[in-house]
Amino acid sequence: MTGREFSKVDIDLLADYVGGALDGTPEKDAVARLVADDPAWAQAHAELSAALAAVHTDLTAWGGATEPMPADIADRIGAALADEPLRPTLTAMHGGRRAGTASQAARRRRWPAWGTPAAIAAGIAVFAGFGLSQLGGLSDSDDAGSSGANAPVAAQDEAAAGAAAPQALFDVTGQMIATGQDYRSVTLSSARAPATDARANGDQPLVGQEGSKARISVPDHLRGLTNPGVLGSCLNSIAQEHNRGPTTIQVVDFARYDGNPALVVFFTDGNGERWVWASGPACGQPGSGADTRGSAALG
Amino acid sequence: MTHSTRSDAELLRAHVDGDRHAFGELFHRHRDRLWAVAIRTLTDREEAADALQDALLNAHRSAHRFRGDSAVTTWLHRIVVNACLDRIRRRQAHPTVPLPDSGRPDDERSVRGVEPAAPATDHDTALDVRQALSQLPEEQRSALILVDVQGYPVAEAAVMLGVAEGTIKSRCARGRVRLATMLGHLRNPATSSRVGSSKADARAAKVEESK
Repeated sequence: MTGREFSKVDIDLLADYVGGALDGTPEKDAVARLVADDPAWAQAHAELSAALAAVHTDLTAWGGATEPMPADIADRIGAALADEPLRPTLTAMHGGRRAGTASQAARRRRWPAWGTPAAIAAGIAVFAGFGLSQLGGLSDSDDAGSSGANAPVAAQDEAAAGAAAPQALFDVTGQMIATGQDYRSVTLSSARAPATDARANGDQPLVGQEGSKARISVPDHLRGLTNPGVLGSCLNSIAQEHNRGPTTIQVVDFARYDGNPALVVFFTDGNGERWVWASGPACGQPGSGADTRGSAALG
Repeated sequence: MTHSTRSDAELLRAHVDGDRHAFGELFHRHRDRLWAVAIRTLTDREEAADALQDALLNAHRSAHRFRGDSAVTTWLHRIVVNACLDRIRRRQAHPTVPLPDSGRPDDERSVRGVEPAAPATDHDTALDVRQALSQLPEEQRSALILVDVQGYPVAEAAVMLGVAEGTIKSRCARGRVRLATMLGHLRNPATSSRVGSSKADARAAKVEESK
């Protein structure tokens, strides 16, 4: 089959079909009919199936070759891990929370000197009260039935739970907004935090501004981050990865970064330096850390 | 270091509880597979080492947040893959001109550059595969490395990359089409690239939602 004949066939669609990506969709049946009825699709299917199987064999064979970690790199990383300090163990709960059980004791966590469960719970609650309730209002207007309106309650639950809250590596002085602005990696270091009064400079209206009718909403991919627990975990991860002391959050913008949905956070670190940090939708999810997409010191 | 028979989860728990050797043992246990993912994703030895070190330090610090929703190895791989993809994105934001791979003395290659990825008997083929993989969009490359090269099930790769299983299948399938052309298994079908991937992602997400 020549390239011209292939051009009659949607190769991406056919590849999805061969690869099982269309399973469970009406498109699978549609492609199956094309393969059965259209000679060009039939021939492309036969050739593509054989070619993809050959590629799979190549990749599997390549994967079969053992690639042990070079000794010098293993030593280097092992030394870095050995140098990494363990945090002091927290031996007492704050604020007269529930008494520790044996299983809780087994799950006890270590906190940095400048972070406590009480602090993180308070941080999330403050942030939730300040911003997430506003997001909730926005969500209600754009998406009835979303969980956003319940966010402050969830934050209180999390605060009450105490032990479930992550450690506090940040505090909050600013706003949460959803500008939808597309921040760019090449110009990130010169990014400016969105104004807290958008009407003053003609920008999009801010989330929850009194009297304003929100025209933009949190992108679907970032909805999970409107949960106070997830957002708190995300901000904590950013502070942890940045690793320069207590972090003060000024602005959290549900926006985009290089075209993709991203939480863009403006903060000041423990050295007094101002930074902007872009995190992906998995920020705060287990195992994802801050899902960092980019960061830069602001001049 | 003596190596115990403790499970991965037990080692991670012990690390969280203050065992200074537990995380090191976890690293020793899985380092080769983690290294394979890093070097095959990034292709550059030093970059892979840096990404792996960043990822493991991140895991070391954030171990208390591991909730056991997935296997410890899946969690570790996810952190490593994210660290590698972060580096690729940074590299794309600040592109550099790679040094030519051929004609360099072996000792230079051993210090910095592409790590030999296969036994010498099949080195040319391995180079072809590696070079072809390096030309794929990062989403397709990482999916193929996890599923086809490293042999992880689609479901596990989906957790590692934080996307739906259908998205992994689509990225793998479309990546294989590109590789088939580059490796001479297929004659130059006109395929779309990122736009197509986005459509596939949207389709896969739709499928996952409807299930």
